[in-house]
Amino acid sequence: MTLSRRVAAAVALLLAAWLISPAVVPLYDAAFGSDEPYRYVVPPPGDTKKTPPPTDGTGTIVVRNGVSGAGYANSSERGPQISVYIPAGSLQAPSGATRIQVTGTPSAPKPPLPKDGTIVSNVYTITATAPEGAVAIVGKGERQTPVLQMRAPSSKQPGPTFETFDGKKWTSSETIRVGQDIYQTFAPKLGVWALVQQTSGGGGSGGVDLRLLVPGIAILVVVGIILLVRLARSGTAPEPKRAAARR
Amino acid sequence: MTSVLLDRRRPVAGPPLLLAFFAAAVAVRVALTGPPGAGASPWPGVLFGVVLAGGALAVGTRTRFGARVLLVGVVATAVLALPALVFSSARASLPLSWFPGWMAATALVAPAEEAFLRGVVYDAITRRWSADVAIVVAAVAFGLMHVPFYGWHALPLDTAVGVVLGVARLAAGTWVAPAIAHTAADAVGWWML
Repeated sequence: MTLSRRVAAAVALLLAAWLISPAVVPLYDAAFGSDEPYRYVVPPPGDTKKTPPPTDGTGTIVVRNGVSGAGYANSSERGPQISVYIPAGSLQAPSGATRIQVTGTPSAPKPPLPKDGTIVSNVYTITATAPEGAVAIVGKGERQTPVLQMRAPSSKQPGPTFETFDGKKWTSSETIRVGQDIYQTFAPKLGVWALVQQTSGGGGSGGVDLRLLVPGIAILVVVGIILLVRLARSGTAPEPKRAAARR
Repeated sequence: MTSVLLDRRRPVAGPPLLLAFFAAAVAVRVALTGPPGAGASPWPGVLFGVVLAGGALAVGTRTRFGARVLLVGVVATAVLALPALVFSSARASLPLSWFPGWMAATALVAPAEEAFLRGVVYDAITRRWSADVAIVVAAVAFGLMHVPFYGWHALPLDTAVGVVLGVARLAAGTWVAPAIAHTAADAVGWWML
C-alpha cells in the first residue's frame, strides 16, 4: 500500500470515527486535567468546602433550514458540571429564528425528591428557547437525540444514575459512565435532571486502587529489570547480523 | 537539520515486553489518578509521561527533526484538528490562567506517549512484522489507554487518532512528527473545553 493510500485510509477512518462517536468528548487526550471541587448551589450537610457558585451551562445553536445545527451548552467549571450536546436536526426552531439558546440552570434539590435514592448533584433545568417562539425536540433516533453529560461530585462506584422530573415524579434514565466521574444519558426531553445515587448502591471507596497499582508497579519493575539486563548484555555482545539470524 | 538522539541499532525488547510495560504504566496511572471530583492531581499523568519517556530512552528509537518532520507534523495536526472543529465547537470556557500548566504537562506527556508507542513499540513491531501492523497495534494500544478515562465510547475515535499518528510516523520516519501533531491537537482541544 502506498503512503498516499494509507493517508487516505487514515483520514477516512478518522471521519468515520467522529461520525459514530456518541456525544463526544471534544478532546483527544486531556485525561490528566485536574477538576475543581464540585460547586453546589446548596452544599450537602458536612461539606464545608467554600466554592464559587455553579455556573449555567449555556450555548447558542445556529438554526439551519428551520432545525438546529449541532452545538454544545457547557457550564464553565473545570471540568464542566453540565454539558448538553444538541445533535444537528434535533430541535425545531420557530419561523424566522436563526439561533436557539440552550441553557442548563442549576438549583438545589427540593421536594418532591426521588424515592429510590439521593440527589448527589445540583438539579439542572435545561431549556431551549428562541425569541421568536417555542422550540420543540423533533430529532429521531439516537443520532438526533440531545445528549446530557453531568459531572458527579466524586468518582465513587457504583456511581449515580440520571433521573428526570416531570413535575410529579422522578424517573430513571439509562446512564453510562463516560469518564471517571462523568455520566451520560440521552435526553429526549429537556427539563429537570439530576444525578441520583441509588439507595441500593453502596458506593465505592474511590482513591488509589491498590488492586491495579500493585501489579502495575510489579510488572514495571520486572520489565525494567529485563530491559536493564538486556541493555547491559547488548553493550558487551557483538552486533547480531540480521541475515545470520534469519538463517 | 537532522539529528539522531535515541537510535540504538540492536533491539533489546520485543513487542510483548514493550506492550506489557505500556499496560503496566497505564494501570499505575489509572490507579493513582483517583477521584477527580475531589480535585484530582495532574501528577499521575506526569508520572506516566516520565515512565514512558524513560522506557523510550532505555530502549532507544530513531529521533530526527527537520523540515519534512515538521511538515508531516503540521499536516497531521490539521488532519486531527479540522474534524474536531467541524464536528465539535470551540468553547474556551476554562480560565486562561490554567492553560500554561496544562500545556506544560501536555508537552511532556504527549511526546512521551509518542516516543514509546510510535517510537519503540512501532520499531519493534515493524522489525517483526510490518509497518502496517505497527500502525494498527500502536493505535489500538493508544485507544485502549483512554478507555479508563473516557469510557468505551471513546475507543473508535482515539484508535482512529492513533492510526493517523501512526501514518504520520511512517511518513516522517520518526516519532517526532506524531509527537508534534499529538501535542498540537491536544492544545486545540483545550479551546473546546
